[in-house]
Amino acid sequence: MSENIPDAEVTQLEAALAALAPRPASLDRDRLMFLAGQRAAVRRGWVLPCAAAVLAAAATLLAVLLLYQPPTRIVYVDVPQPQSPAPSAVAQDVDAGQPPSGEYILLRNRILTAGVDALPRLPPDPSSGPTPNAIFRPHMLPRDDLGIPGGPQ
Amino acid sequence: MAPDLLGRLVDKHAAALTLYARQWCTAPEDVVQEAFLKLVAQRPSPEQPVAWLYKVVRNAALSAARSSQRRQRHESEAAARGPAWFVPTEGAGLDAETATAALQTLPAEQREVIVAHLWGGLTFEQIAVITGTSSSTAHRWYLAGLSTLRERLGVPCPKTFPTRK
Repeated sequence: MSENIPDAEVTQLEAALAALAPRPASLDRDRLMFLAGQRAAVRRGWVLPCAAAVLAAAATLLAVLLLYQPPTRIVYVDVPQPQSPAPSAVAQDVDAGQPPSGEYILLRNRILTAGVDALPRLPPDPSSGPTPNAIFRPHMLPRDDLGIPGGPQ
Repeated sequence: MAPDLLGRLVDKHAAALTLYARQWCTAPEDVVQEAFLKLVAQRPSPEQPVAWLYKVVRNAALSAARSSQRRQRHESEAAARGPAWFVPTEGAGLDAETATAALQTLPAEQREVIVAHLWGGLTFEQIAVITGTSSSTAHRWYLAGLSTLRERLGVPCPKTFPTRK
C-alpha cells in the first residue's frame, strides 16, 4: 500500500468520508441527563450525611449516659478534730461567766449618758502617775475602784 | 459540570463517540452513556472534555470487546458485526454499507485514527495522547488508512463530494 497520495486526493477522500453521517446514537437523552444529575447529587452530598451521622451518634451517646448514669454515692470521711478548743467551747465559757451585776449596768448607763468623765477617779499612784491606759481602758481597772463587787480583795 | 454544557456535548458528540466505540464493541451506546456519566462525576472537570470522552470511551469499549469476545465466541461473524456505521445519505459520494465494510477491514489503529479525526474532530496530538503514540505516528496511520480506503472505495469524482468541514 502506498501512503504517497496527492493532497488533493486526500482532501477529496476526506470530504467524501466526512459526508457520511454516523448512525445516531440511540441514547435516551432524558434518561442520560437524569442519571447525570443523580450521580452529581450523590457525589456532592456526602458531607451532610456524614455530619448528620456523627451528630446522631453523639446525641445517642449523651442520651445513654444521661439515662444510665451511676447513682450518687455518699462517702463518709473521718475528719481529724483540731487540738485547740473549739470556738463553741470558748463561747460556752463566756456564757458560763457571771451575769453582769446591776451596778455595772448603772455605771455603763452613766458612761453612755455623760461620757468617760463620769468614770470615777483613779487613786493617785505615788511612783508614777496614772497611765493613759487606765483612763481609756476602764475594764482593766480593779473592780474595787469601779465599785463593782467581786474584785480582787 | 453544568447541565447545559453536558447537553451540548451529548448533542454534538454522542453520535461520533458511538461510532468510535462501535469499532470494538457491539453495545456502544452503553459505553458512551457511561462515559458521559463519568464526565459528570469527574472532579475537577477535564480541560478537554471531548478528548477525555474519547479516551474513556476507548478504554471502556476495548474492555467491553474483550468481555464480548469471551461470551460470543461461537456466534457468527455477521451477527457480531452489527448494523451499518453510517446513515445512508442522499447526495453522498460513498455508500454507507460499502464505507462501513471498507473501514472494518482496516487495521485497528488506522481505523481508530480515521474515525477519531474525521468524525470526532480530534487533532493528531489529541489522538496521540489517547492512543499512546506520537502525533507523527498517528498521522502516518491516518494516511495509510486513507490510502487503503482509496484503493478499496475508488476515488469518486470530486464534484459529487458535499463538503462538511
